[in-house]
Amino acid sequence: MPVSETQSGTPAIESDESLMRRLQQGDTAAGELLVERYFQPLMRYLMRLAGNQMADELLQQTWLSVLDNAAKFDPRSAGGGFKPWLFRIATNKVNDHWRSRGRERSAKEGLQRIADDEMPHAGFRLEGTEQQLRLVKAIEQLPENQKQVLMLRYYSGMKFVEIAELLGCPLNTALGRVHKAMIRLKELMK
Amino acid sequence: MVEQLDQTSELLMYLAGELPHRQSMALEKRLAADSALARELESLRELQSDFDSQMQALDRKRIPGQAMAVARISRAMRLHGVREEVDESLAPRRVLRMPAWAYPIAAAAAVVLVYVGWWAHQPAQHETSVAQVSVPAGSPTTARTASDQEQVMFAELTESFRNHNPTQRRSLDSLSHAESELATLASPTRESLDDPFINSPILDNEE
Repeated sequence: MPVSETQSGTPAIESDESLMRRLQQGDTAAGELLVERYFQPLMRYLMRLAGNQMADELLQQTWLSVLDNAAKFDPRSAGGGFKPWLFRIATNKVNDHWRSRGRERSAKEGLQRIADDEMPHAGFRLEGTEQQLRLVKAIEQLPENQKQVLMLRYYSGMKFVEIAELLGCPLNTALGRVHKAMIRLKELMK
Repeated sequence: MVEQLDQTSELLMYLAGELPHRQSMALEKRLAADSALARELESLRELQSDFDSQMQALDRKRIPGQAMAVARISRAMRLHGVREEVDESLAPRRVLRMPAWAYPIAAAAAVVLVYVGWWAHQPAQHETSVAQVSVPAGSPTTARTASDQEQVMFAELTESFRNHNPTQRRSLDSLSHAESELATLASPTRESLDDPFINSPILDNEE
């Protein structure tokens, strides 16, 4: 975490917007700090939506896109600041990935994805308990549109209005998808 | 003002604290008066809470390899930035001497000038029409060039005689009479005069 000492000696964390300003001026070290700060939530979000293997590639694509569009970032116009903006970019990358591979999951891909989740990612298994493994599988079984809204809401902290705008759907629809997704998960977890 | 929401959506927005203040106040009044609505709100709150706690438990374990992944992405970002700088420096720079908007205006002005120049060098309308006057075949008068106004006049007069225009005939009669007198005074023979009207076969015939 980028810190600086305050007068009282307590470390003050540099804000996302401040790091983005530095990145806009060409300070790649600021970009590295942002990557580190958002690695966990962003990686998890991408893993939930696209699977473990694609998450790595999508993560890199997201940050390169952040670099390409850094000049366009304006905290005053970007609703909610840097974090929602970052997750918007990530969501677009996931959608591009889905479009390129097609919406239909072949039987082969479905089996591959299940195998991916059971296999450790880089030698590590995220889901420690059976309950957690069931939750992961339950999330995978959600329809894509419900899964995307639910995960985006949870990991990005974006407002429902922002999510609806990003996904191009009415607010009622976005909220309805969240509701249905939570109910479905509850049923699958019983 | 949020768009019209269904009941569940409105409750979810209220739970998230994203309902506009006025709508929130109105909902709270309804919740106070409607127990079924209040129960539905509690059900949603519980559903949300269960989901959040499950996800927090799922994500409690950190994804390993963060340092390596961050280093890899940072390196990719640095290379990406360098690659773009190289691409920009290698790309030939087009330097415009004039503002971009000036070029189409200059092109249009050039077209106008060319057209004006072409139009100015076009032959005059009356000269063109004169050249198109039909001259009877065999007539002693032939309009050799379009700009030869005299020959055109001769052709017109000849044509009018052929058409027996009395007005022109009378004036030409007196003219020819005057000319013949002059010719007699100036020269012993009329044949030396190169006057198409005097030698006109029509006049000769009339006489």
